[in-house]
Amino acid sequence: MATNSVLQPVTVRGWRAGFGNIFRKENRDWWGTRSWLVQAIIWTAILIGILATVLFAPMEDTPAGGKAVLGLMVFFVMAGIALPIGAIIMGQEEVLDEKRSGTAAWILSKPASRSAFILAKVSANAIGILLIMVLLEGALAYTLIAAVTGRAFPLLPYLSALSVLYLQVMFYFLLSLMFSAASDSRGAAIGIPMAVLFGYQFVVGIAPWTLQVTPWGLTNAGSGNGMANSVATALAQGQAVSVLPIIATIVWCLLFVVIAVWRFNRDEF
Amino acid sequence: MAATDLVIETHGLGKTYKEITALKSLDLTVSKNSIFGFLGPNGAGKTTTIKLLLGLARPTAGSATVFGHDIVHDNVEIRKRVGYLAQDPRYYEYMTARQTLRYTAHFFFAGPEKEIEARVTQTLELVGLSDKADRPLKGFSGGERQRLGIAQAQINYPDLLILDEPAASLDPQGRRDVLEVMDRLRKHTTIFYSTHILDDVQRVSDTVAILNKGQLIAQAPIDQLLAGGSGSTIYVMALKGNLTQTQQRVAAQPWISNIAAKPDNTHTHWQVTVTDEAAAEEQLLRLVLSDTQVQVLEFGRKKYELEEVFLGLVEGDDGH
Repeated sequence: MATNSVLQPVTVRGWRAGFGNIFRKENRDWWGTRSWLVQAIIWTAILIGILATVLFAPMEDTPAGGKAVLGLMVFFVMAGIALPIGAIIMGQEEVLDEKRSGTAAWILSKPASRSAFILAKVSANAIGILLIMVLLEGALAYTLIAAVTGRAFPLLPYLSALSVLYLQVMFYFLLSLMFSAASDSRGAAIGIPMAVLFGYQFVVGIAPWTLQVTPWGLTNAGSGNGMANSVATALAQGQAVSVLPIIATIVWCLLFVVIAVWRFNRDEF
Repeated sequence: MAATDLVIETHGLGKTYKEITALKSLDLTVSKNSIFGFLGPNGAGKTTTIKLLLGLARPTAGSATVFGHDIVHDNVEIRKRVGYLAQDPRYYEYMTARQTLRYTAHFFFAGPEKEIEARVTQTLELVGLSDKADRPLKGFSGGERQRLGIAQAQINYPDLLILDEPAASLDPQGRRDVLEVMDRLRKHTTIFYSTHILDDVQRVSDTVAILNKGQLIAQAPIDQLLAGGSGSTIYVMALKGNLTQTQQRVAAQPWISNIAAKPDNTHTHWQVTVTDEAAAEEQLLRLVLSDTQVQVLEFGRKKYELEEVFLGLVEGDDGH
């Protein structure tokens, strides 16, 4: 055809073909629109709102340090439930909506690999989730707890606790994304991750060892799982924790990505 | 034909979805710089073939190459040289036409940004969408979407343009515009397009393949197909007068295989099927005119309409 010699062709081959372009588009969807602001407002209203209610509630016989720990626990428990719900909804939209609307077929008719399609979405959303849903909310919670109780937790342990929260949110995001890549059922892509999120009390009651191989103990604590502190709350206070659930959750996350890529590569459009 | 002149080659290509066979052992060759019309009734397997060629679906039998690249293992390389317009193209509704083309262009070009923008603007002008370039697609009409579809399909200067029913949803003016664009592009690229609008095929295609129930039932240059293409030629005549003896004399010639006579009010129509075209051209008219009681009102070689050929092949294939 009548080519234009000034235009430089994309030379990337194999699974990376199209990754950069899709990644930039996904990032624009987060940061080039009001999406990040809407997300920030929603999570701040829910998480910081609940935290503020707890911190400003009159607790005359509770020392300032106890109130700070209570605030910390409330933040991680609430964030450990609310953020995964948001992540599940986002995860199922990412692939399933594109398959159903036909935009996935359009993109895949261009020189873009299917692996790049999934990995670009995972990468861009991982950044958005980290910055808006975890770090921003974590920073606001930290500031509020310190301002109200006068106790500031050590920064590094607190950041490692936020890393655990991030891992938990990504687990549910990737689980939902995997089902949306593997099936055409919105019920499966939302319902199964929701069942995993809320079914832990039932399963842990029967098989307590599952706490060590799932993200269930990362942010949840108390009667449900028999732990005095969740991994996140313990880490924030500088306490020793079992690394097994952290490693297990990382392995699960990687597995979900591998299955999503493998299954999407077998899909037909 | 040299292998380098072939853009698409399929060998026994097949696709079965569970128990439904969408495509049966397709052997197809598409040569460089042709406008290849891929015809067939709905459900014939046209879209399935296109999806297989692009790597959007996997074949269950046979193999195929596009530009020498295998459609299963090397389809990203194929898509680098292809522009594709789907039957029902879908884009991101929140994007504008310019953003859609910019996004498409970045799958093919790494830079410079200024040149990519120039290409986007040029393509918008080509399809007449410059004045709507910065409106979100959710407000676009069917015709505007189709024009955007053509724009995104050829933004990369493709060596092969694959169009799946490009004019199906368009009004006559839109159809004419699409055909004009195809005609303009034929100098630079090979066009492989599926359709069931036979008039369009007859106007622009140089080669045609007809698919029915997942099976290829004909592939030939359009001139050959319209000429009959089966080895026998038919001449049509309109005659006046007493034809009994003339018909006997003509039918006795060894190169005549059949005369179908159909009387009208004032004259009779003959369809004379011949096996030797040269003999027919030299002798047929003379033979008829040698009878002074017969007047010849019309004489000529039968010209088929594509619709006639198409229906004949498809209905014949259906066992009608």
